[in-house]
Amino acid sequence: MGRLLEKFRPAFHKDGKLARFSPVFDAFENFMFAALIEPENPPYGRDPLDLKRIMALVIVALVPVFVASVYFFGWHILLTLLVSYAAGGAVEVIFAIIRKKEISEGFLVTGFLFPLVVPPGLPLWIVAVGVAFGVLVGKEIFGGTGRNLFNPALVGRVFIALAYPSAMTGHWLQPAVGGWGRIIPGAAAHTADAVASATPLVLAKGGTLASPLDLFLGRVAGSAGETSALAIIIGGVFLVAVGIANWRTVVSVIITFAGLSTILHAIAPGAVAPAWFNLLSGGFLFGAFFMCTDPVTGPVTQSGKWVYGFLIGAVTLLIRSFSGFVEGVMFAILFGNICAPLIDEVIIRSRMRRYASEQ
Amino acid sequence: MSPYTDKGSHELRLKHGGFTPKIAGRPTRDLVELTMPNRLVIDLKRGGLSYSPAVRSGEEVAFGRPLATVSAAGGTLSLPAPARGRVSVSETEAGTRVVIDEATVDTTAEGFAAHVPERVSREQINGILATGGVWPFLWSSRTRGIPRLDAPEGPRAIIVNFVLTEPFRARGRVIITRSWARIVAGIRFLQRMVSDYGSIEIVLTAPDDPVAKMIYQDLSGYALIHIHSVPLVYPIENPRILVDALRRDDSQLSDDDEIWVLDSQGVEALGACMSEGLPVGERVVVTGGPGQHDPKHYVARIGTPISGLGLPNDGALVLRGGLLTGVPVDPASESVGFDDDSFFCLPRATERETLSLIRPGFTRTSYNRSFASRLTGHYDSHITASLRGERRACIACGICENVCPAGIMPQVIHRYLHRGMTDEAAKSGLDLCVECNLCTYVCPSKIELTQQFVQAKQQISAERKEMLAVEARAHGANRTEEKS
Repeated sequence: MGRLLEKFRPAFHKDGKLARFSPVFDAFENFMFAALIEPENPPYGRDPLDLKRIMALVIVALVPVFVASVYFFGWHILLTLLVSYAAGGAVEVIFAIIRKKEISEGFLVTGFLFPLVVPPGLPLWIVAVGVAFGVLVGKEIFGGTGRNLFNPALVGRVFIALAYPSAMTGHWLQPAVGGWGRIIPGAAAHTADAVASATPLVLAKGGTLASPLDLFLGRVAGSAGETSALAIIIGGVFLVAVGIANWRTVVSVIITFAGLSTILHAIAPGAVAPAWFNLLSGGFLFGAFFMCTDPVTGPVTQSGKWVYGFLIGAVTLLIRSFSGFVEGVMFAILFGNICAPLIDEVIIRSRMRRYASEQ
Repeated sequence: MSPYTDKGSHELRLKHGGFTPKIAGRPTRDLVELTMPNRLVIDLKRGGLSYSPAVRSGEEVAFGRPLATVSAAGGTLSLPAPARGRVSVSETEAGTRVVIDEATVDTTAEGFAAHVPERVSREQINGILATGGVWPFLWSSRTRGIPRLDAPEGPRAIIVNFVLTEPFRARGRVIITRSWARIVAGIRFLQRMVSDYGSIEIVLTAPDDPVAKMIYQDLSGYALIHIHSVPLVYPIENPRILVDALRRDDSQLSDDDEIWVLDSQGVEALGACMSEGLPVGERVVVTGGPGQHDPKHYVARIGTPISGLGLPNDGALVLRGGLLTGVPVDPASESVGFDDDSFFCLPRATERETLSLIRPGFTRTSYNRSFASRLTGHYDSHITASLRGERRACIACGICENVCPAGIMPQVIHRYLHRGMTDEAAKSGLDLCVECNLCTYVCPSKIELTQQFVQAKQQISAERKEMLAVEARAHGANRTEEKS
C-alpha cells in the first residue's frame, strides 16, 4: 500500500497533473498512515488521541446499530450507506479542493449517521440529495467541521422531510421477525418488503402501544437505525465509556426526558405516553447517544452540556405529546443547536464574574 | 497530630483537573555521582535574566567566586563559579558563555562561611543567598518570579515542595536520601526568613510519609511547620497552583500575603550555602523518557556537558525539562545549568503507523479512555516528537477544560482569540492560566493553545503599558498647560 501511494504521489504533487486533487490524496494517505508532524512548541510530545480516532470510535459505536438495521430491514441499508458516503464525500471533496484545505474526517460520521435516520425504504436519490444538502448547508457554508452550527445529518433529514414528505412517511418497512432476519436474503420469515402503515409513535397517537420487547429489540417500523434500543444502548454506552460522547449530555437528556414523561403521564395520561414507551420508541435514544453528543453543535462549556441535555429532553417530549408531529427529537436537537451558543454565553458570563474576583 | 505542628497534616488539592501522562522511561532511584570533567561550560543566562561577566579571560577563579552578576529583584544576583580553574569568556549565538578549564573541586568556597540560623539576620541571609546563586530558586507569589531582595519583610509562608509529578524530574525522595542534613538546615534558615508568625509549609506525597516523621524528629522545637500531602497529579508542583491550594486550605492567609515556593533541590542548596558555606555548584539531574534506555539520576557539577549524562546518540530529541514543559537542546553543545534537573529523551517519529486510528493502543496512553493501555496499565512507549495527528479546527470536545488545573476553559479562550476578541479572552480568565501545557498536550485537534495564550498575554500587557504611557503623557501635558 505504501509503495502504491509513492507511485501516485508525483501526480498529486504541486506541479503534478492532478495537483488540484491533492486533498483527496492527502486525506487517503493520512487515513491509512499516521501523519508525522513535529510540534513547534512545547509540549514536544502529544497525547495520541486525534480527530480521526474520535470519528473512528463513533463509527465503531454505530456498528451494532448498523447491524441491527441490516438484520431488520435488509442489505438495502448498506446500499443507502454507500450512496450516502458517495454523495456526502463528493460535496466534502469539492469544497476541500475549492478551499485548498485538507479533507476533514467529519463527513465519515455524517455519512454514516444519515442512512440510519431516514426510513429504510427511501429511494436512493433522495438519500443522496439529503446528505449532500446536509453536508453543504449544514456544514460547508459555515466553514467545515468545527465551525458548523447545526448537526449536518439532521439538516439533511429536515430538508428531505420538508421537500419529500410523502416519500419520508410512506417508506416504513415492516421489520423482519425471528431467525436470521434479513441478514441472509430470502431466509427471513417475512421476506416481502411489506410497507407498514405506521411507526409505533403514530400508532400510539391512536392509543395502541407497541410491546416493550418489540421496541427494545427493534421489531418495529421506523427509521433504519432508530428502532433497536438494544443496539443503540450497546453502541451508546460504549461511546460514553471510552469518553468520546459526553456523559453529562447523555445523562441530562435521558433523565429529563424520562422524568418529565413520568410526571406528565401521571397528570395527562391521554396526551403523554408512559416513560418506558417514550424512551424506547422513535428516535429518542439514537438522538440522545449519537446526535446530542456531537461536540461541535452542542455547547462549548461542560456545565452548558447539562442545560443542553435538559432542553433537548424537555422539547422532544413537548413536541411529541402536544403538537401535530409524532416525533420531536429531530426538531428538539436542532433547537438545542440554536440555543447552544446562548447557553454558553450565560455560563461564560457567570464564570467571568468569578474569574474577575479571582484575579 | 504532632506536638510540633498546630494543625496536623492537610491535603492540598488541585482546584480542578490535572493529569499525569503515563510515559515509559521513568528514572530509577539509582544515583550516579559523575566525576567532574576537566572543562565546565556555563551560560550566563538563568531564569530569563542575562548576567554580565565579572571575570576576564585568562583569570584564575576559586570555587564560589562570582562569574557574572546582574542587577535584579532589588539587588545584585551572582552566578558563583562551580569549581576552581582558569576562565575564558566568549560570545556565542545563545549569549555570553564562560568556560572554566583545568577545573578542580575545592572543599571550601571563597567568600563564604558556615552560619547558624540564630546568629544571622534576614538581610544577611538574603545577601549570602544572592551571591551564592540560591536566591533564584525562590519563587514569590507577589512578583510571580524571584522575590525582592529589598523587601521590608519576609513572606507570610514558605512552601517547601518535595513532589514533582511531571515526567520526569529529579525525585524528591532521591534528594532527601542524599542530603537530608542540608534540607533540615535549609528549613531552619527558612524559619529566619519568614515574617513574624510566618510558617513553613512542607509538601509531601502522603501524610504518613517517613519524611514527615523525620521532620517532626529533626525539627522539634521549631514552631509553625505544617505538613501537607498532595495528589500525585501534574501540575501540582506549579508554584501558582501550590500557592492557590494553600490559600484555599488555610483561611488565615489573605490574598495579599506573600507566599514563597521552593523545591527540594532549592532547600538543599539553601541549607548547603548557609550552614556549610557552599554556594550552588552541582545539580541532581535525571535523564528519562522512552528514548533513554537507562533512565536514572546523576549528580553533576554545573557546567558539565550534557553529553556526559549517558543520553542516547540516535538523534532522539532531547528536552531540557520534563515532557510537558521542556524545550529542545542540542546535546552536543549544551551543559548542565543552575536550574536544570531533567533531560527528557523523545524518539523522533520515523515510521508512519498503518491505520493507527483504529488500533487498540496497548503501547499508547491517553487522557481518553479508548486506548487498551487503560485496561492493561501499560506505559506509553510509543510517544515520539510528533503531534500524533493533524491540526484541525476546535470541535469543542471539552477535554482541555477537564484537565485545566486553573479551572478555566481553554476552548472558550481559544475561540475568543481565534476571532480576535482579546478583551473577552482576558475576561475569561486568561490571566489565571499557569502555562502548564496540559491543554495543548491533550488537544485532539492539536491546537497550540498555550502558545496562543502566552502571545495574547504578552499583547495585553504591552497594550496596558502603552496605555499607561499615553495616560502619563496626557497627565504631563495637562500639568504643563495648567502651569502656563
